[in-house]
Amino acid sequence: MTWTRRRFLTATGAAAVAARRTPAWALAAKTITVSHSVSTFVYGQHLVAKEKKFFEDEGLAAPSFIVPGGGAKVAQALAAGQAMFALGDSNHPLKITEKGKDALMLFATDTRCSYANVVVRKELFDKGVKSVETLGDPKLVGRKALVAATAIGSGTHVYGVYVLKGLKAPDGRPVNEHVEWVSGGASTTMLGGLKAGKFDAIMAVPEWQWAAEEEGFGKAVYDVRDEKAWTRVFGGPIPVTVGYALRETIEKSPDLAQGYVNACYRAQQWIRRAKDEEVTSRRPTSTPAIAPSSGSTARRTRRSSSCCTGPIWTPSAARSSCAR
Amino acid sequence: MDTFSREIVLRSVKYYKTIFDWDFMIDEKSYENGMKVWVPLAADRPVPYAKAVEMAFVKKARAKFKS
Repeated sequence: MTWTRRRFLTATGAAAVAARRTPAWALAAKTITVSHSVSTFVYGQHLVAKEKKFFEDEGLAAPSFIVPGGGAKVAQALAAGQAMFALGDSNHPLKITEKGKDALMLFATDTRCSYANVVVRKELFDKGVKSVETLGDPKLVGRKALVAATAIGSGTHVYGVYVLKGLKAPDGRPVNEHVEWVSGGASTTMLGGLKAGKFDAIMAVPEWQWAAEEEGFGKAVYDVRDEKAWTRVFGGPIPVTVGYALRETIEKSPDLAQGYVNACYRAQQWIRRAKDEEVTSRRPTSTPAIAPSSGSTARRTRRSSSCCTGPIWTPSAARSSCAR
Repeated sequence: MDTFSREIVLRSVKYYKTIFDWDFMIDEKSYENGMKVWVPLAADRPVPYAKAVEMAFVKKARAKFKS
């Protein structure tokens, strides 16, 4: 290759520009790839760690989040090596392990499942279905109760079945034996189905519970914020949302794993201490999302959906409608 | 989804603060509580705690950033 004067000036000029644009910390930082399904407050630890530069304090650069729009896709990205660390449902690392690559839970961000709330039609509630137990009374419901999860096999289904198996109907059998599970889809179809009487009850994220109660067409009969009710069914705290990684990542790069956990832990402590209004006001300076590609090179995308851009705090309804 | 009002987002923040795990720890008891939920619908069979959970990093983080 012949170096002409023009070629030399172009190359050195571009390098100088690039050097000016690259912060000093980034030159020394080790890049990690980090994923969560959608940018809701459920995964706030990632977003706060980035906004508050906690990753950078650990000598890490997490330039973008891989935000594929679903927890199962996050697990796929991690198993494929496109993401080193992920935040998602605790059953995802178990599934990865079952498929032959050991994955480990590194920390838990919550102790109860925010989408294990059961909301019944207001009409049924007024007839006397005021508890999960009475949902298993065909005389009150008028039929085998139709209970909607976002999808069969989804997180709402898994936790819903457990709640209904753990509580007894008036005949002494588990409530779950008296219901039929159906796929309810996302926000519009779940809430629309309950409102129209298509479903007798739905598994609800908090925002759906609020909407159904405030619009007067639904009433919660199982609320995970009720610690006694939670413990009666689940026996105590559960790690529902966890940070996880492949065992090989941890063994190969324990320093990166420690930095990732440190940054997320600091973020959690920041959330704990911050005023709610302060947490709400946080906005990303720039949060480009990377969608996992089928090949070895990730495809960089800036999504227009509110799942991935805009205010970093979108309610968990977005997670459910996009991901579950 | 469309955009959300600040009020709804604030409400979500307040809500999740009531169920967040501030110490980040996963102990054997809570893991076993979860395993009862996950198997068989979400996972085919139980995975032992020691094979699925690594708490060494959190312990170091907690030591480094004492509350």
